[in-house]
Amino acid sequence: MLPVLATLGAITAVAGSSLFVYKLVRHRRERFDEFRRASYVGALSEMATRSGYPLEMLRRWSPDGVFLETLLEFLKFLQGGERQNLLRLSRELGIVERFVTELRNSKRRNSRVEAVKALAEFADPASADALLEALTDPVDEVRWQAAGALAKIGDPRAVRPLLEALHRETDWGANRIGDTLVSFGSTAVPDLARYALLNDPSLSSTTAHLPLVARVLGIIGDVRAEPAMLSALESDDTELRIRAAAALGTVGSLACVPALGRALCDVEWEVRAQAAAALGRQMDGRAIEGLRESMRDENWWVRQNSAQALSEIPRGVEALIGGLDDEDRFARDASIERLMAMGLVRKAVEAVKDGSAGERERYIVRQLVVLGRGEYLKDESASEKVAG
Amino acid sequence: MSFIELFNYVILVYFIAMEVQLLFVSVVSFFALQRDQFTSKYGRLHDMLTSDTTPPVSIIIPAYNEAAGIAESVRSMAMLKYTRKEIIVVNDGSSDETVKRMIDEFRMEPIDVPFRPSLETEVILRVYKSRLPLPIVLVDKENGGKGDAINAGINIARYPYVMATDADMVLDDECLLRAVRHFVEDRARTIAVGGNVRPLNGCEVRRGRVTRVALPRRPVELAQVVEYIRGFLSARPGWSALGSLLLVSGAFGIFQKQAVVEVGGFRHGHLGEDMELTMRLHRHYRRKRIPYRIVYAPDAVAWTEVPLSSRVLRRQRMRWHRGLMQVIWQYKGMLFNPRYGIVGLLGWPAFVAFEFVAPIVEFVGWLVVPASVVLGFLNWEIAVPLFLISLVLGAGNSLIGLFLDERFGYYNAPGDAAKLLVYSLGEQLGMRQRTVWWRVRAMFWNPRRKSWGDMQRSGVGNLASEKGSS
Repeated sequence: MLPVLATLGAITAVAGSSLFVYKLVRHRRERFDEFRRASYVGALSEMATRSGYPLEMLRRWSPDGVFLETLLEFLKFLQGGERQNLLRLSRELGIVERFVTELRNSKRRNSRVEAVKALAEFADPASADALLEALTDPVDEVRWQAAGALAKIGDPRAVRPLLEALHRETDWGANRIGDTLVSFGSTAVPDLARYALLNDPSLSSTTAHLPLVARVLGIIGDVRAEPAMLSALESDDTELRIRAAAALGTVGSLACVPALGRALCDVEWEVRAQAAAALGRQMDGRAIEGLRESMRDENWWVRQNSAQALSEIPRGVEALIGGLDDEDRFARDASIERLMAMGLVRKAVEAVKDGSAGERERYIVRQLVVLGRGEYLKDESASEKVAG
Repeated sequence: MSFIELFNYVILVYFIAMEVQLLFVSVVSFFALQRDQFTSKYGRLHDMLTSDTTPPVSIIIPAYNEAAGIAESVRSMAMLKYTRKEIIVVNDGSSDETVKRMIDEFRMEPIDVPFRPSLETEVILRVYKSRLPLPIVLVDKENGGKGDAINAGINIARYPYVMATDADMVLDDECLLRAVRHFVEDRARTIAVGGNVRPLNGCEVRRGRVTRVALPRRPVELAQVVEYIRGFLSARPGWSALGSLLLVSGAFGIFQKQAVVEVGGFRHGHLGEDMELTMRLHRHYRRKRIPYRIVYAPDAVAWTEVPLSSRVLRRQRMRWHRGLMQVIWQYKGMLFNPRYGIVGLLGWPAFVAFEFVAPIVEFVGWLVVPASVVLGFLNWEIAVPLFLISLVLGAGNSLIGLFLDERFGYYNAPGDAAKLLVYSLGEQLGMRQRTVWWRVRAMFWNPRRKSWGDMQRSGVGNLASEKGSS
């Protein structure tokens, strides 16, 4: 027993002392880093605002990790001429090349990911080739950072490799690539639309990421994506229908209103909710009847989106006001919530109070009282006037 | 072989098994933490702030007599870095001015909100909504316990994910973002994510945020810091990586609403409602053979006030242990049952064997040793080193936790580092024995049940001012 005790005791003592020493060293190092960071912040602030700088001194500083961290922080927040000054400085110091070499040659994942993260801040077109190569890196985070960096550079050559990379990615990685594709904007639309229509033979035929591509197209909002989204709205894949319905709100023309109207009766509430929202963006009076019906939906989101859509469509407000005496309690609630959000209830109450109310305002306030929402009438006089 | 010898061997085998298990889980935790930290640092987490794939979350704060700190707590939640969230405060029949405080601070006004209750709860008296441009809802209901209050919040919640937290929690800016990352990573399978809860005592809090992490002064608080580090960093990341995380803390846990509703929500009046729900989710999904994940997010940090005195700590620990006993009794059928996969065969048996049985074994040791001395059976040459070995191993376990905690870089000031080390060794004599005694007492003592702890809160704001003035 004693040898076991002695061994365990020794291990614990050594581990405890090592931890203590490590913490002390770390504490000192952090303080020293803070001290250097303060110096670098001062120097870089100076250099950002002028075109000449003491290159020799900067060469001595540039291998220091704290200097690079500080420089990257500056690049994150600076714009215009000041940013250009620091970028020029980085080029002269060979920092971008150093990170490119690191990204290409380092065997350590931490070095590669740090390098690619830094390259994303520099957004130097000279690093685009290395970043495109990094899209096949075995480490997820390196690929995602490379995708982000390419988006910052805005090199359209990256769109197809990013689409090719989609099928290899996890949900998280695919979402990050999706966010990246969004930042390419309209230049990415032809490739994305071909992908969404599954008619690009050179790309993987998997359909798993179609909803994501539909989402990206929806955010970019280019009308060239409308045929692909109309086709996707008929899909058996629920997620794809949801995304297609949402996308049609931004990419669709008036031609998509009938298809969106049909989607209001979809079996999945998410599709119905997105279709309602999309119809609101189209602002076409043909949608009023369907949206009015959707305010009775069993799902809160569908009711809310339908009410909001009605408020965006000309003559839709009348339908909303009509919803105040709907036989369905949830429809009445959706109407009143929307009217309140639009400020119409407050206006109606004020109008009734000061005696300038027309029939519409009186009706709104009367329905408020009927629905038991009298708490919005800050004094009883308005309801009394209505009753009177 | 005499009975005493047999007893000694059984204890020795148990002892070795426990240490091997702790070491194994700690090693798994080490790799899990390493992986998690790498993704958290380089995984473009901040994209979530602008991405429309980030799911909205309803934050539910059950409140019972929380007037002292509720406003500060809600403000702190409102400032969390996240895209879409709503904050639902559920007043569970407080006898203090919790409701009035909420109404005054956030200009709450009653609304008539229609909802289809998916979970049964005590009567909801009134629902209020803030007139400020903040998504804050106050639910005033009759007293039904913490679980009932969270269920009421779930009924009102509009969003597909619900976060259950306590009113006295101080959350890190990005904790919600970091926790929800796990849902986005695997939306189809992830049903719950537990966060990392750390003691707030001793820290500096300004405007609802921890601005400086430091250790508290009282020994009873310090011992809890070591305990939390050990529990949340040595064990949970490992069990989570093994697919057998058995406790998503009710103090900071995020759940897929649909999953919680499907299993019937939090159990009313249960003393360990968070663990009970986690176990129920495991059982449900394993029985139905639906692929699922219950994950721990070590980088999603929330801070909580831990008891300041031994008296309150005793009550809290006894309540927890009775909760554990209730859960063990309810889910005994899962023990060593292959139907429940790794949970039934490894995680749950290990939890029962080393969380529930350990204090019994240690307590039996206390009885056997004096009896052996009296009867002259005790072999001092073996007993003393064995006792010392148990203390050294206990300290070793705490040290492992501290090593793992180095990833977060807290408590590096020389004074803090020394205090932590001294307490990780010192808690083995005194605190450990006290905890064992409380747990054993909890097994026999069954006082009037209280669903809510009666811990006195100083309130987040008060704590900050207390620190500031010291």
